[in-house]
Amino acid sequence: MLQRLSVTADGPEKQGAMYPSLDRTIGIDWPLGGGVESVYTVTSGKKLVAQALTFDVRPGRVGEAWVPVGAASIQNMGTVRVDIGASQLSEWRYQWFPTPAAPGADEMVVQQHNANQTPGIGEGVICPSGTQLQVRCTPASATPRVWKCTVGGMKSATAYIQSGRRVTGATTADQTILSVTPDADWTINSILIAVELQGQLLGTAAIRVGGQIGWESSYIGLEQTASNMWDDRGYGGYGQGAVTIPLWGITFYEGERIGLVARPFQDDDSVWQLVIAGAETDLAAGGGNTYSRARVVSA
Amino acid sequence: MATIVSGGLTTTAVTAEQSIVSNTPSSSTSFKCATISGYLTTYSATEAALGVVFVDVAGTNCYEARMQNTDLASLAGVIVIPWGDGLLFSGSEAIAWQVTPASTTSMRWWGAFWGQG
Repeated sequence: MLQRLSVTADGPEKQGAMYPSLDRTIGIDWPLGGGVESVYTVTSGKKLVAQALTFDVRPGRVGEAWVPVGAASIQNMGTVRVDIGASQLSEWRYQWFPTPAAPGADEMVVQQHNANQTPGIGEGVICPSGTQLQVRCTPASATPRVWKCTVGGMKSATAYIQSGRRVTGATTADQTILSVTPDADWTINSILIAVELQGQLLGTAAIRVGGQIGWESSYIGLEQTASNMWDDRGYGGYGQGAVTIPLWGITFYEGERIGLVARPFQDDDSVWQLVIAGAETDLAAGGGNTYSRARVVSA
Repeated sequence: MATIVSGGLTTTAVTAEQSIVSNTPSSSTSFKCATISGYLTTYSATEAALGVVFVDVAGTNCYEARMQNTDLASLAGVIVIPWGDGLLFSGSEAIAWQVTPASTTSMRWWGAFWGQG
């Protein structure tokens, strides 16, 4: 059998899918041993004769982007507009500033290149009950980017804060980042817009076997323009872009677990995978000899 | 029965041959594979030597390799040593992953032996 475990580092839009999913941007400070785990458990009445574990990360659209710092310059990101009902509240152009780098560096090595803007709206703008608030973007280029928006205010005398996120590599006009229709008047006090171009550092991972960490990865990133996370300089195993741990028939019994612990640093739609290769067979088959011997001894 | 022996070490010392994981397997334990990972505790893109790792069997180094921290274009080391259908030891020999770090920068090491029986 080939059993695939996976964790998708993405937004809440994929919650409810069959694989675990993250619903926020993850910081670099995952605690040791922490992370999101996808688990395989040997079926009751079965045993797993495992042949190999193969780990890899399929980078997300955003993570594929690579930014040369030496060529960094002001970039036109696109435009953002805010609408309440049929009224357009605001529209502005979003620019990226140049990114400072270490002297002599030829590559950007930040995890995320953030830029954010907070338009001031004084004492507040009211989005009336039942009226749609929309925050939309029109990217200037097809480079995949993450657009984020948080709108904060007061509704029925309590704080009401809504966030939205869109990962897009399309230049289609007016793509929705956030859409909210409040059920009572919502006095909006702040709007925060951020655009991120993800770097190459994807995170770290571990394989947990029977409750203990069996393997822990080093930092996982991307080659400059390729999708390999380990290249020939850094990785001493075999395979390209994947780590294979040969198991040669190591046997796991019913209830024993093999887990992939992913610690993504970005919600970049990357898919973290562990493929378990082996054969799951009935405990009675082969291993049933144990019972046969028991009967002989009893006799 | 799977026998997976693993352990981690976070260290700032440059003491030679610090133990990452050590185990004295029974004579019936067959180890199929050894894995080792090394990386800086706090991420840095600066290329640097991390140190030298050893597989030590009964006090004798039988394998060594240097591990590097590299920039984001290529990553710090992960080494997987396949041992085919398995290596057996006497039952009284200790087998260990050891490291001699190259600097006092905090590093994390994780070693394991994957076996059966």
